[in-house]
Amino acid sequence: MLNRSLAGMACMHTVLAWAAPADPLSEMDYFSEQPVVLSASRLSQPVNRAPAAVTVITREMIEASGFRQLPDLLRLVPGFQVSWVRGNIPTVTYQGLSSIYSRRIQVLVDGRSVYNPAYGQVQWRGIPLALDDIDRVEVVRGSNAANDGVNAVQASIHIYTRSAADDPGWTAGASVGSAKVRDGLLRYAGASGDWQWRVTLSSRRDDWIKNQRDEARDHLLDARAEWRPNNRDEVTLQAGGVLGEWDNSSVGYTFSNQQTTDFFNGYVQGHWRRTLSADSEWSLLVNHTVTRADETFPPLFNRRLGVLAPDNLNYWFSRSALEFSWQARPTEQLRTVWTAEARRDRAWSASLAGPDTHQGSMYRLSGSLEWSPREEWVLHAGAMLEKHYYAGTRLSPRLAVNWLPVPGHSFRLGVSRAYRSPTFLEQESDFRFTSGPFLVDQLLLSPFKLESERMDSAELGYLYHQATLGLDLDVRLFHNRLDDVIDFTTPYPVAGELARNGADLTYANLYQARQWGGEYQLRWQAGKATWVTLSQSWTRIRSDFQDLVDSAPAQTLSLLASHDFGLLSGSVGYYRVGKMRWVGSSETPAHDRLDLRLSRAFKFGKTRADLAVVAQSILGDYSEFDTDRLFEPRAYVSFTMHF
Amino acid sequence: MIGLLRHHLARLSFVFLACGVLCAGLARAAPVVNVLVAEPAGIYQETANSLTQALGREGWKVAVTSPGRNSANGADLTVAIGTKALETALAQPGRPVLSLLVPRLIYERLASGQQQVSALYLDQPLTRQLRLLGLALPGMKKAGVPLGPSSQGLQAALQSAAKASGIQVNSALINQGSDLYATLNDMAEDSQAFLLLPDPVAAQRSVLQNFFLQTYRLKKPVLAYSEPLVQSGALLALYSTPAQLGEEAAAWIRESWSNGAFRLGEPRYPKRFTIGVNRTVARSLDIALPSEAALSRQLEAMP
Repeated sequence: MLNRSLAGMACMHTVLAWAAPADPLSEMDYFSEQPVVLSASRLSQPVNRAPAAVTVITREMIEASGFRQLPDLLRLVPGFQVSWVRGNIPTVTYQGLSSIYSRRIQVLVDGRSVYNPAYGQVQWRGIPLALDDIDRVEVVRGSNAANDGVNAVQASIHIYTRSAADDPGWTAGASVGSAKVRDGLLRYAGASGDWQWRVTLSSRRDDWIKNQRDEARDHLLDARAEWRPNNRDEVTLQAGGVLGEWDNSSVGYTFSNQQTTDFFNGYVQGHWRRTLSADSEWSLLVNHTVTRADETFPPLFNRRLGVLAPDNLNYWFSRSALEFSWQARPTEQLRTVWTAEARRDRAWSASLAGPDTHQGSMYRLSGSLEWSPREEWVLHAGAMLEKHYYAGTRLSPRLAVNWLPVPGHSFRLGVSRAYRSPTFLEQESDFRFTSGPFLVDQLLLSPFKLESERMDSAELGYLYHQATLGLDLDVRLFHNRLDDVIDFTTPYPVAGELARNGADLTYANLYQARQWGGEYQLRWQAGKATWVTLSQSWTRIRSDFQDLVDSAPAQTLSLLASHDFGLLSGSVGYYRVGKMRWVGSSETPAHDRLDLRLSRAFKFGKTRADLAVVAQSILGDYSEFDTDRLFEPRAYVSFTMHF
Repeated sequence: MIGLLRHHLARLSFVFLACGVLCAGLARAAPVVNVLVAEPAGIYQETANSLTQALGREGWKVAVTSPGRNSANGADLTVAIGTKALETALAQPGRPVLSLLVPRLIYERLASGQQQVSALYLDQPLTRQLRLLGLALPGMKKAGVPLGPSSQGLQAALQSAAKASGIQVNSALINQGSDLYATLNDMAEDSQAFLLLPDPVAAQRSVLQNFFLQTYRLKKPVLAYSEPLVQSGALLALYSTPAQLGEEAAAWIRESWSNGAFRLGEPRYPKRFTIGVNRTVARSLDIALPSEAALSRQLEAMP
């Protein structure tokens, strides 16, 4: 009865929307054709019918977390480890198994791979992307090579940016805090006729590790335009670049702590999507990325031979890709996705891999079928066939089945195979100090033809959804077998060296590992004002290499909770990672971290504003790499205005 | 000779008289209906075809004309299909007019207070729309309704529909300018779904794009008012097709003809309707929807 008595109470408030003057209402408004907005590729698959475990980091989670940098968001994903080796070397892995060059996670921003073909890993700080422009991050936990190809071995991260005229108007923001935090953001989003666009200018500065010379400043420009000439076609054009000025080197080792890195990453991308119906569309994606880093250090000096070459660790690499994809639903029960892609990677580093430019092409065909013969069963079969310049011709298949016996409960069983190709640096490394014609010291060499690493995985998933209580639970049990792990071998004799400063290193396929584990993520929407996400994971590794055995923390925990008090909103983040080791590095002790965020929203006429205070690591100093590198407590204030 | 002529003339006049009486009687049995279409094509022609076929089965004579060539001045009833046709028909007052394919707001603006004019609206009753949301989405308590300069005239009607359906509404005005996102976010806070009503500003193409993207991001399904919109991204649509409207109008016209005159009565919403469902959106939002037929049956059974 209360509902009935309240039923007539409609509240009315006037706001402004992006809208052009229009013709008066007419009957044609009821019949005119409309573009398919929520086309198949825009709609995310419901997690209980997906072939893999997926964690979605939403905008509200991004805001509540208080994180300023993209890789930190992955602390919110069960089983992920995030470590800042230095302010310009953030590294991320899923369930261990990684050195600080995390090479088995594929990362795509709006479909464009930002995986670095030269080193492997992802230069997170060098992605031209402001956190504010992210719509959502979808993380596939486990292999996703059937969809994303080589290097999507341990996990696959898909970052989607907001559409061009999302939140139209001006946005200006600034953050100031300890640890030299100085951030600025200016964005304009607008629309005219069939066009919508957005331009973001952003600058970030911080000094990440206590007592380390690792201040970093990034300046980025990112632009996106969308053109919808008719109801079927949509063309998205994107371009952006980052200029990074980083103290110290962007690679893990350096020869002088006075070294600085001038980093540049730029990209252009075009995406043409034609929607044939709500279930059927094809798209063409073309992009080009260039990355370069200038890392000059003071020349090394040998008493007998004088100045040694090289005096830098400069490198560049580029990637061009063309991808065609076609989605269809031939019958109500069957959905298909087909893609064909060609890529060309080029990399150069005279210091690390000889004077030549190394390059290679890759061709891919993939198909996936999703067949739901009955509502409670979904069968997935997918495979990616690739011809890769180093990996050769490889097939990465995946089979999965979802069973939804009763509403709210679903089970998933999946098996897959994935490959990780050697990187340019692993296959072509030739790092030596010379003096004129003399070889003084060979540090790195790649005399062997490397095989791809291979991971075979099996997983069991359970998902629970309770709408009334606002509960979502996702449990995953997994077993992985990783073969042909590439790492440094024992010393390799090189003739003619004048000085031997330690071992000469070569890359080879050396180890294998087996991994078991379990994890869960829980989301609880406790009414309108409160939500909590909690995840934990447990892992064990058996391997013939102790570093791999130690590489995953036995336990991790991640908690983010947010409450809206009315005028104020507050959130708390707690992250705990057990003892672990980044392969080839010293042990990282168990650590935990507590972050708090308090914010207040204001409204002055058409202007919205948000004032936030974020305190990070308030429990004290902690280390997430080695005990010399401490992340000390810090706080910043940020103010954002939208008008 | 003259007598014979007079006799013939008398017989002839009787025949004429008889013919006249007969013709008048026939005219009363099947009146002349003029169907005035805004354009002799598309949805207007489709509605007209459905109407003329239904009336034709009863042996009624129907002439179809368009505003430029409206010559059927002697018709007993003008069925105006489309806004332009309604305007033309209203320009010649004094004859019964039935408006078809015109939304309620436009009809009321053009024809309010006019005698002998009625309408079978193009739009669906708001109560039916809210009830459909209630049937399709368990736990449905409140719907967000973005309104524009035209549709804000429906405020009062929305409130009474909310009372009748037991589903509350939370409406906000969308104007020229910029803040669709904040509006939708505000409305989404305590609404389980959105009801989209036609409006040249709030539901124009450039707004719809962002409207569907944002409501999807908020995981809130949308009930819209047309078949194309269900393709575009709405979970559900409730509408009447031109064929349904034509047939329903034909039945209404037949019923309202008695004793040589049309008594149309009050304007009304269509009784016949179609429910459109976007199963792809339903799957993605993890909403288990009953079949269209089941929803229709339940909705029809409601008072």
